[in-house]
Amino acid sequence: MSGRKKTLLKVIILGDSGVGKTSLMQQFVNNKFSHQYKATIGADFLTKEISIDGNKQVTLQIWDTAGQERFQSLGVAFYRGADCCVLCYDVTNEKSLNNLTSWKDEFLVQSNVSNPQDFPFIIIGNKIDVDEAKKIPSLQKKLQNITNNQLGGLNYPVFETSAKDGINVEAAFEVIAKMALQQEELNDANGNDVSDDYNDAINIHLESESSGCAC
Amino acid sequence: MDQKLVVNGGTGEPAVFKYRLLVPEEETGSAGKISTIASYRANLYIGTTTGQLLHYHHFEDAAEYMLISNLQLSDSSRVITKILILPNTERALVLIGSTASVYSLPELSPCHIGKLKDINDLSMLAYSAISNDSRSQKSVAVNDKIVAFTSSKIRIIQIDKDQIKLLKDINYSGAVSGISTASRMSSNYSNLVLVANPSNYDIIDLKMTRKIPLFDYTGNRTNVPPHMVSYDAMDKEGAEEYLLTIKNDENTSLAMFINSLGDVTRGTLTWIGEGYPVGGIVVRWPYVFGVFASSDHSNKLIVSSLESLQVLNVVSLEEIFYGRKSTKQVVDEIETELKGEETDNKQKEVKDIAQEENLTQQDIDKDNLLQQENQQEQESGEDTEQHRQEQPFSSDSINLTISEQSEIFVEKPSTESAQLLETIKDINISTVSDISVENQTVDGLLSKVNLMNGSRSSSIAKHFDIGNIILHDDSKVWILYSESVLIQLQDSFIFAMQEGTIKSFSEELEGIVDTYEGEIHQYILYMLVLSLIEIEDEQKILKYVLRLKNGHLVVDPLFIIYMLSDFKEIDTSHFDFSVYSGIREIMEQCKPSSSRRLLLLKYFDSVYPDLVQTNSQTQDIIRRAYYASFKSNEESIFFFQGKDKMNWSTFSHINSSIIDLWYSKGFIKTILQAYRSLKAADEEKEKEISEKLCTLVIQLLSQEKGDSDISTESLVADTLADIKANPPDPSLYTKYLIEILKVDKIRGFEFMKKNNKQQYRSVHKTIMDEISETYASESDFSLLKIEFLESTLRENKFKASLQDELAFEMAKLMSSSEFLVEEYRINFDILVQTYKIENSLTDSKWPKISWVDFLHLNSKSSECKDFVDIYLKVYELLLVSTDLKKSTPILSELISNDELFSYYKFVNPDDTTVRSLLDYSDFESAEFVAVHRKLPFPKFHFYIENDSRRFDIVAPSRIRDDLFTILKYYLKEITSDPLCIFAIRHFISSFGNSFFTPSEILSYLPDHIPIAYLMDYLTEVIIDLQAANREVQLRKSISKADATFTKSVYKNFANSFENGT
Repeated sequence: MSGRKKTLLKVIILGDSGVGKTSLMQQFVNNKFSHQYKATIGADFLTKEISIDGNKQVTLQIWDTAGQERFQSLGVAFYRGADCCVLCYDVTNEKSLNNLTSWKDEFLVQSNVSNPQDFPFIIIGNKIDVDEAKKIPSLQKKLQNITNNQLGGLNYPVFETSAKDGINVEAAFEVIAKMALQQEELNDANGNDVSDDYNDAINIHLESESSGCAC
Repeated sequence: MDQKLVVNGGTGEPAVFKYRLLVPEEETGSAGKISTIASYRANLYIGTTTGQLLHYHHFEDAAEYMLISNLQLSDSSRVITKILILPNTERALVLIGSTASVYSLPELSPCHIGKLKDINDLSMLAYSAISNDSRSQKSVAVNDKIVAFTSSKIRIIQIDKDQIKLLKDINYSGAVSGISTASRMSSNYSNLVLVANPSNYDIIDLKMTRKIPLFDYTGNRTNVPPHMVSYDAMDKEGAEEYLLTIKNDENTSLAMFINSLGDVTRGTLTWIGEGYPVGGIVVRWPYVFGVFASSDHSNKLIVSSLESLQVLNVVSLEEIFYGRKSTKQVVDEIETELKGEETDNKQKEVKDIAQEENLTQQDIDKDNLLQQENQQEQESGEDTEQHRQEQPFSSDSINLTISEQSEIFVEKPSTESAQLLETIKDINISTVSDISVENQTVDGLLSKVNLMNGSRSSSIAKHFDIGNIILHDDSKVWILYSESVLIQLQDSFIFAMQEGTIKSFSEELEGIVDTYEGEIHQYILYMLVLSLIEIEDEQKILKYVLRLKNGHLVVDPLFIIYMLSDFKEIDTSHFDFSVYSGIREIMEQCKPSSSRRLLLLKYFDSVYPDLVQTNSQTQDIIRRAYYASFKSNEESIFFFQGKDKMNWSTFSHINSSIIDLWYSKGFIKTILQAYRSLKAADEEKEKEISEKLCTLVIQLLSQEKGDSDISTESLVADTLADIKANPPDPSLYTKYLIEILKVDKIRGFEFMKKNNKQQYRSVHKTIMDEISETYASESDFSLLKIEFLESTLRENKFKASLQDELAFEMAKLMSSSEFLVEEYRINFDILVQTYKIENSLTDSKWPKISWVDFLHLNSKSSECKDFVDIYLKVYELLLVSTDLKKSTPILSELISNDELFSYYKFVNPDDTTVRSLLDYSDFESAEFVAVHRKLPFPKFHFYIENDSRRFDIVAPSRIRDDLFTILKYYLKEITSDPLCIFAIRHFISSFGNSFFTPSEILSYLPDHIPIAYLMDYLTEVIIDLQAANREVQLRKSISKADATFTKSVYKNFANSFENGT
């Protein structure tokens, strides 16, 4: 894709509306949490510099996308060039868990990544601060089922977080950063992302050139 | 004329934009509705819905654009949808319906080189003459290349002055609009086109002939016009980015931002509840201006930030452009109004209207969608123009649609709601090439005002704001442009002063001052300096006021002096000192300037003299200011003798004014130094300087002026030394000495005595005359004057008038009580008495000494020598003078009544003089007067070497009378003292034989006089008698011999005669 600096890692957060994508980003970047819910329209991003393994400085560009379906047509623009995708669900909302597969597929289709099988995904179950009673029954089992059957059996890292209380948020993004860096390095090794700016381009037919007037 | 639009700055300062009506309604009203606008240099081209093309021109000497032509390019049913300016070939492509024709610029003459048909949109092919690759050379374009968007192709066309050439066709279905992107590329022309079809945005790679699909913008295939706007992202080093608008739903839309590679560059900008920007989008970094027609059919200008991605301002265009309230406002107000009696009914009516409007909008959207679908199915062909009018993406179509459904009627019109009867006009926003808008406010700020006399001079160049954002409704055109940075900063400065935030504002000015050039830079630099003065940051003040451009100071030193000094001290009436009017306004807002003397001196030390050498006026005023800043003579003299020494070689106007300044500050010591230096250096004006110096010294000596640093003693000493070293002309010399004598007569007299050169003697005499009144009673002064008179007298060969004057002066001295003290009187009297005794007739010694000679001989041993000397001098002068004038009038008043000077009366003898002299015991003189009728000349004289007096012949009888008087006096005395016999002897011996007969003498003498005392006389008489007798005898003998001889001769002769006959 574009010739960004190697240390800039683009991370996309996907998930159903209301699972807490914006809150996770705000908690990680700004250590802030708002109780007021405001649906994201379009997308926005925040950046944060972190150190990986104590010696590698990277800048995470974290894109918070709209969870509402009507914005999914815009995804192609946001997903392009991502180094890691965070799939979010709400531990109290089973539907959001079930939709993880859709989000993954949507991402892979629209982002047109060169290595869909190896592309790094991470799963975050947010809102663990709520009462146990409100959580999805047999969550772990269902989650395992989804990862095994619907997400291709790949062993994606799973974090359960609370954006509200800041639980596991840092840890999750640390792993995200490592995975994104690996992906970036892999792309570099394969010569991707720089050899062809438009790997999702569609060839179109060229009319035979005319030297005449267009009148 | 110009109105302001203040854009909320979000996290930063508010930004101020201005808008003004560029073309009024009355000029376009008859030409249909405005459909498109373009500009080229000073020309403005307006296309209308009725096929007319209006050409406006902005003449340099006119304030407004003027309509110079109105071309009807087609029948009135066809809309001019685009005017594409081709700057290289100076042509314009005018798109009417779906056909584009070529016209020459600027006059719009038709160019018959062909037409472009089946065109939906036109765009310039992005071109850059600057290569990112320094190794490649780009050529300068001599033609124009455009991108034409048709329903089936994207066509790259080259327009030359005389031909149209198709360069490339790329199949693309349904292109309705597009822009050429990525002008900053390695090749001259862009390879990328951003294109919109009826539903999606795509990037077309012209070189690789491939498409990069972006996203849908229609919000589920509703009819909205695509907006693709390129801009330079200033937060990313000017990288080119593109704003693409997307409709989300009926109430919400958003904008995405991508670069030419299709990467999203920033988050989305959302307009929630504002609808879609049907009136257009314009980016002016960091702001996005969108014109929205919201559900209440009022036009809103929504300003958003590209940095914060937040909506900053929502502005009702109805309100700012037409001065009327928006529909929503009216509805709200009516609602308020209706509360009460008819609340329910009226609310219902209004809401009905609003609901009806919303429904209408939705219906129309649906209709447009159908039209769009139909249009997509249609093939391009002869009826393309008709299709174009039906396309929902054409701006004029949208406008028309909205116009049709935006007529609002209120059944019960009130004053407020009556406005709703008017048709709500659609307003569009777009950009054109830069338009210059004269900014008289900036001209005013940059005009110069003379701080001394208040006179103003206009700014040399007119200043223009540049704008390229155009808003137009059906018939009017406005331009929206950034408020001049100068005016913004001006307002901000005043605001910061009022709010006490001048420190942060100053930092802001520091940050931007070097981003401007020319007059604006200079103006901001002045502002910065003012702000730094206000916060008293002296280090930075010096840093900025010492800035140079081409070796010259940018900030006028006079401005610094004005701000940092107590300017009252500086007489600037002859200086032309002007500052920008705007700066003057700020200065008036600043707190009263307190003199920052040390800072000013530091500044002067830095700039003087090297940095102001080329500007004599500046140099002069700095020198003045320098001196004005000094607080003592020491400081002034140090500078005067050091850094400023070179400027004191002439008595120039500025030096004169500096001296005046010193006068006002009381730095007299400095002035004295300056005058002395100038006197030595400026030969041409030496006299003038000398006079001024003299005047000053005199003023100091007379205490008319004063300086605590100057003592009278030192002043006198310095002045005398100066006079001696550099002798002034006699006139000044006189003035000096007279004043010095007044304050220090001892030194003055001493100086005059020592400086008794010939050339000064007459001067000294003049001085004496001048001060004689003052010192009439002062013997020292008189003695001095006498001394100089004597010298003068000698030099003038004893001129008679000088003799009189000297005599008079001495007589005056002698008669003065200060000089003629009692001691003198007594001693003199002793001398008189001594004389009478020693010169008594009883003394046998003869001849006697005259009184005058006696005085001279005895003066040295006397206690009144000074007096006696003068006495004798006067006597000598009187003798000479009387001999000439036969009178002694000069002394009459002074000494006539004093017995002490009675002797002087004898100088002009009369009949009583002999007798008086005898009484005075001056027998010598009495006898001399008796014979000569004049007093004898002293044997010891002061002035006259020889007695040159003329002695008239005195009648013997007169002499005899006087001598007889003397004899009688002697004879009388002899009766009282026999010793006086010697006087008789002397008299008879001296005069007896000469003036008397022996018989007379003998008859006068008493019988008892011993004959022995007459021996000499008698001997002489006898001898004389014998001699006389002998003479008689001889005469007789001779006579006899002669007779005998004669007789003999006669006989001989007779005999001879007889014999002969």
